Amino acid sequence: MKKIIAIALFAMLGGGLREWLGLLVSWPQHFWITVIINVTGAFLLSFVTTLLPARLPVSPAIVTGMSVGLVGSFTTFSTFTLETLQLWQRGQTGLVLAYVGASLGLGLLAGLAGNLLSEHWLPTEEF
Amino acid sequence: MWQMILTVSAGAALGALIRYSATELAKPLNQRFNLPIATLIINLVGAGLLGWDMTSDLAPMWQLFIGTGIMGGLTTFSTMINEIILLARNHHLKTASTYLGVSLVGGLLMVWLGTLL
Repeated sequence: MKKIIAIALFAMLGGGLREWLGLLVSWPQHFWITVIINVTGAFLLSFVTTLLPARLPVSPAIVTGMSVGLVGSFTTFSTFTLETLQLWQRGQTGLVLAYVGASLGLGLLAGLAGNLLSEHWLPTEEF
Repeated sequence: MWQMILTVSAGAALGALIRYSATELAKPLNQRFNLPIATLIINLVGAGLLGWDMTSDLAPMWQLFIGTGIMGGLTTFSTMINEIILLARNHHLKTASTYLGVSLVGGLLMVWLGTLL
């Protein structure tokens, strides 16, 4: 039950933050904010699931809330597909490639960096 | 502005809870398919429903609540990326690339089908 409440509250924060950022930027190519959000979230997830519980005395409910709720709801797959489709249907093939390439390429790089860095900063066992 | 943010917040909470429940329920299936099948299905279904929602006749606030809120909170990009990396780092490169390919092609197909509804 604690996990359910934590997920709901953190998801409100994550989803709200995503919308707030979307409203904040007024770029002509507005879809780049989705790339920034998704790449940032891909980078942060490992820190929340691996490093945070190893470094700070947080409860499992908070860890689940922050990973499933906060980062999970901050990033979005559905908007990524919709924006790709819209660019495609407007015939902007170059932008489709740039958008998909940046989302997946930078997303994978950011995710890997987050993975490796959070492992690197894990406390070493003392014998 | 705050009304829009809170509308999305409420939807995202609902979406995240559905995602968590579905992922917990589908855990045994991940073994059988040797793939994070829960995230895949959630992302594909969410893409389809977002496509439908954004081209529907619903009032803008409902579109925002269901689309940016529930579907935004239901689907997740960060978990997908981290699952792909985990697969790749555990030498399941073929599964990792299949998962990425099916997510991308399937997601685009689903969102397109959604807009046709």
